[in-house]
Amino acid sequence: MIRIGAANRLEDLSVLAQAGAREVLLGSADLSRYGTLPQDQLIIMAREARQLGLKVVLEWDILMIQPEFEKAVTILNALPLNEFDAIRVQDPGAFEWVLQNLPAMKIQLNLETGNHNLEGVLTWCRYGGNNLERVMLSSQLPASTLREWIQKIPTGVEVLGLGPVLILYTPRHLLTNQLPEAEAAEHLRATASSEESFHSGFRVLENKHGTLVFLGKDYCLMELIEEIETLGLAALRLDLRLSENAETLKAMAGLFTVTSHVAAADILENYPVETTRCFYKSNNTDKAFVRLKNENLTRRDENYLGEVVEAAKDSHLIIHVRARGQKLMAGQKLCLINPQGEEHQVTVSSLQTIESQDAAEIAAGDFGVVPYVRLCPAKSTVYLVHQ
Amino acid sequence: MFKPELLSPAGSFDKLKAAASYGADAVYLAGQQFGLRSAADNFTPEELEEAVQFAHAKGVKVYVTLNSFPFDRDMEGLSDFIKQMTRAKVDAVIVSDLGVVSVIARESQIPIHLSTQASCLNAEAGKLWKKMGVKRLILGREVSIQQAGQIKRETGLEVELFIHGSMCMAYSGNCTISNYTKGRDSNRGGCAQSCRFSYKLNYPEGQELEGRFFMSSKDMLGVDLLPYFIEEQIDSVKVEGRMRSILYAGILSKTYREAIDLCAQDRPQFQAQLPGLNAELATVPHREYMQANLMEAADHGSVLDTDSGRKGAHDEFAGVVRKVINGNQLLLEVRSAFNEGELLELLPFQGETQAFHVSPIFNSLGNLKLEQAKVNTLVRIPFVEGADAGHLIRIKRK
Repeated sequence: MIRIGAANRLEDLSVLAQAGAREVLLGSADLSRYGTLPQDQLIIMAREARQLGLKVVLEWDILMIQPEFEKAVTILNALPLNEFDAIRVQDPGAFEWVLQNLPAMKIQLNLETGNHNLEGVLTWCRYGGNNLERVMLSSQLPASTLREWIQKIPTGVEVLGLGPVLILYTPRHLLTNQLPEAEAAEHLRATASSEESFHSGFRVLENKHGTLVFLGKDYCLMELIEEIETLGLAALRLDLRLSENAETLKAMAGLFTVTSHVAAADILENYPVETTRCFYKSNNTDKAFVRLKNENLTRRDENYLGEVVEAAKDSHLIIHVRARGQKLMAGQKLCLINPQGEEHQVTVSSLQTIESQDAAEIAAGDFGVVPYVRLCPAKSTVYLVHQ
Repeated sequence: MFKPELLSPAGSFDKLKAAASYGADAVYLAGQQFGLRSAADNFTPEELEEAVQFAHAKGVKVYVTLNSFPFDRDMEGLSDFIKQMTRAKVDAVIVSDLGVVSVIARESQIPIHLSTQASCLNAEAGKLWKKMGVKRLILGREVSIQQAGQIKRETGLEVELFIHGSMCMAYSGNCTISNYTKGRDSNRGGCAQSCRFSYKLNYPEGQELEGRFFMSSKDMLGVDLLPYFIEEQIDSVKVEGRMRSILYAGILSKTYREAIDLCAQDRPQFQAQLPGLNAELATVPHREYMQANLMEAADHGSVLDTDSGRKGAHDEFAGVVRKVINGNQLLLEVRSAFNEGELLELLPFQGETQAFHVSPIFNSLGNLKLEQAKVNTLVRIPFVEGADAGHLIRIKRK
């Protein structure tokens, strides 16, 4: 597993090379979300990085509507692409364009947004074929999944080891929107906090591509480095470009070669923001869904008859017969499930139409009036009980 | 003349009936899994079959959304669900994840529409998805009508654009705030709407701005732009809102049906009717409207300044006419309380609305006069000319 870095300053390259990084991401301000480099500086740094023995990866990871895509292609066509060893993309359009137009270029495909099932990742890999040298997987995948997948994925796999957690990416300029007098800035920053718990300290970065919102804490797996080394990763990324302090990279340089969690922890003592492992151990972000709606009111198909639409205390219930092909009949045994999930079994002792006529049965789509049943308000679901 | 398909939301069977009856050409809905609206009623397998039968009987297509980003364990029921959808004869599936696209393409003949969640923004991306088996691109909401037309021409695929409703601030699929703040996966149906909260912004220069809804987008309103949709031959225009009310599904379907038909057949009349169409679309709950990215990139002015709440007063949903009794009374399932004498309005499936002051109101059995119709009851009100089962009635609050 190699460790890779990223650079927005010429002086960062020698720091990375001396620290033991094997590869560097270089981002043009026109093509990259975090990159700030003008094209001429990008080329200078690419050449310098190679001289320092670093593999050089060009970042083209912005998402692009059609005019921006065409502009990006114009920029790429003007770049001396032989100065780069690989290109990193996220937009499927960029992936397709590189595959079709740069057959000699190695591709690193960013699959960090979604792509949480192996079927999809393998399909991307098959499509990329031999041109695809690596995929970047989501930080929402727990270690157990990474370990299993890496055995099955035919290309190299990279994950974020240390860096900001991107939680929102929009093309709109959300910070200058709030500063009507401000000129659109190349890089405008702020922090955002809400009174809602856990919505505090978001770091917000605005640049020409829009606005990026990051979690208040950075993602960090370095204190698990012994375990990380056993996952089978091709690369671990340490991306410190968002730090405004030029000294941060130097202070963290030891993390590019550290092999023990103790040593990593020592180095991280000086890390400028708090860190988190997020979902590395487990991801249970679907567990709360059962609370989003009342499952007691969700129809179950088996024996479903309909729904109580009116409950007049001590008088009657009105049942809307909703199930296709079913009938509400006098003498039938019913099970009513109220919004609290309580089941009440009753026998239909009398049945009338909504026009107050005695009826033997009520067909699907129509309404039947039955005697009142305690604790079964409107919205209770009604099921047939087969004896 | 070319007419785009009108695609309306159907978060429940009642909403589907409203959308289909009021003029949608197609509806989209979700099963109990794989969708992005965990809090919606959604459809059981049996309901799905019924829904498709109902819709097809009216000439309306049914698209099923499977637009979550599933993990491996979520994929386990997918093959069974594909069989259910095949059996139910759904017209297409709406998918955002390549793994799901891949399985559906392998195991069924159901046409695949790429969800807006996949943020397909350019023609080159469209070409890639075409090779994966996609038949229609539901383009990212950042794409303009003109760009959508270009993508259609360059890919040879059908294209669909949103024309109305709430907007994600992020490139769709590129927001995970809920995952980290609420422990709910926004891309598996758990979005907590964190973008709608008020935030305090601190700039490094020392500026502090309180009470800013800086991530809260205004809503999209594209009815005025229908001539451009037609000019660019956009195959389908979509109304957002599976979580909205039956009344919303009905009004949006009816209004856009009228607008599309007028725009395609009688452009001067369409222009003349636009103020009325816009007024009708203002009757449903909404945030401040904008044209979003449909003509040019939404940026300054596209974010709510100080209020994340709903815009202005709006009509309320009195209820659904369930039955005409003896030709002289309507049986109404009440959704919002209203009083005797209040001004209500009946929305027939086609044509002019009928305003009336409701009096008298009787209980469901017709043996007790009421001063107020209460929520979760059935009431009887006098017959209104042209009324029929399924028609919606609203309370005029202004």
